[in-house]
Amino acid sequence: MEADKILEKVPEMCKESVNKASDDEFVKDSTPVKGYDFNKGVNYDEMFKMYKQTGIQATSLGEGIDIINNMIKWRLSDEEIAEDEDDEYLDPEVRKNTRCTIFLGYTSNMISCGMREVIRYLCQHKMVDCIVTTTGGIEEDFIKCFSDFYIGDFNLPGAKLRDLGINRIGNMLAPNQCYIDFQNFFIPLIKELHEEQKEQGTTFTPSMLINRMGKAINNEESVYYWCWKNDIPVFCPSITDGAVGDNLFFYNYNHPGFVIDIVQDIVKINKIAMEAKHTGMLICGGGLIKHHICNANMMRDGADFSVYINTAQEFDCSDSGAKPDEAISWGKIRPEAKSVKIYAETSIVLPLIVSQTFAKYHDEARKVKDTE
Amino acid sequence: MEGGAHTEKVLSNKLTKGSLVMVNEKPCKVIKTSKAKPGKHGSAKIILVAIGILDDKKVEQSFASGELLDAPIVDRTEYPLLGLEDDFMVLQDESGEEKRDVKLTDRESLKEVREQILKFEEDEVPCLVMVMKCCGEEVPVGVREDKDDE
Repeated sequence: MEADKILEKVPEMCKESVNKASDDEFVKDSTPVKGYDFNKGVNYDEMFKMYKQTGIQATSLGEGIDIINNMIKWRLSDEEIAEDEDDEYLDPEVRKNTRCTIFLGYTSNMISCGMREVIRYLCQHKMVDCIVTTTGGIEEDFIKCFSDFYIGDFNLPGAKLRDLGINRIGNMLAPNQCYIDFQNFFIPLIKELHEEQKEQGTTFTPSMLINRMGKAINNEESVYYWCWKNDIPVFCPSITDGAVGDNLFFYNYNHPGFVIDIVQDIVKINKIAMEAKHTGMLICGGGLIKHHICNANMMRDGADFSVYINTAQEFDCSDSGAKPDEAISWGKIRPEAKSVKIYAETSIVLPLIVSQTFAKYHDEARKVKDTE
Repeated sequence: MEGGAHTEKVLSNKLTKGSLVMVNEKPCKVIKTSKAKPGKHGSAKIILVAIGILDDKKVEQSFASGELLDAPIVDRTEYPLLGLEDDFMVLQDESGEEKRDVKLTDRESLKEVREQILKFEEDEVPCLVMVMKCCGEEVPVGVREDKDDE
């Protein structure tokens, strides 16, 4: 080779190290790395098709899109009939209509930001079966029906904002008036539920409370309005950790005795997982919402599909940073399941994902019973 | 009948659909079992969904895997029907004596049996009533025409 002649004086040891022969067998069936060619124009569908072979987190995002499309497409008729199958699932028609139960989890900042509209779309068309979020993710959806949040800046000084009565959520602003509006909506509802508790003996769980709030708001912009309308249970075991809890605290001064039962909700969510024929988890963020969904799936020996989107790392042994393989060790994800962790901040990637999955296959993804 | 136990022991993880087991001291028939392997929730568990064989009530309960449970002993005997007295049947027991202590059941799940017994009695058709005995209670669970000539 010409290059060899030119490099005659290079020591053999160096040449052997740099030119170590690669094993072609290993990459025989692998996909070559290649990105999207914009000479084809601005074609988003074609652009996203290249993501899987782009490398780095684009590849994970491409895999996540595939996994979610599998959640949407799966039918029990795709599987062989299990030995101990229940009688009702032997009928081919029933099997064709039995779908994957999709758990959606998100942290409250997703409702603070514009993901609220994306999540509302998913609930409006019943594209998910079960939701887990934290308290901010509940109250801020209702607040946004009365007042707006605003785009601010991470660097706005806290002391000045406090004087102005404006609360900062990162680079977003939530004026105190929002929380006054929420109080005016929420307190009368609590009084009503408290009366029901006293008169009829009803004990409210967080999911029942959120269901009633969704019914009361009666506003099509609200995520939980659609959850009430489409019977999507919303779980929030830490319901008191937010404005909801602040209001319950003040309500308690005047009318003590209102009880919220978190035990019946753990029974409910675990049973949803246990009775599902196939489950998928789409978990945006970490903390309680991630663990709660994985734990429920542990009761059925693990989820079949799993997509994590978060920015957490595993070096500190937090559950938030734990990768899907750690969940497999607990029985929260099945060993043969399709899973991926996308290291990314959700507000950037969730709209992209929805555009290539739920929205793209809108007719198939929606599980609303047609009355239109 | 005096003597003899009403229950026997059975291993929780040997139960399958159709097995009999006592739940909350009531005799039940298992309609569904699910297993939870040992994990964060602790030891392996068996979760049973069962229906009471005397009251048709659905119950759910979880047991430790490998636990010894009580299972009801169920006997089934056929008796010729001699007649009816109010809500009780007059049956002929093994020694030829009259047995008057088995009531006609009004359980919804046994409605057809009750109606068939009444019809046979009305049409004076000789028949044999299948009586299930369990936990000291006796319930008519079936009836058929007695085709044997006596």
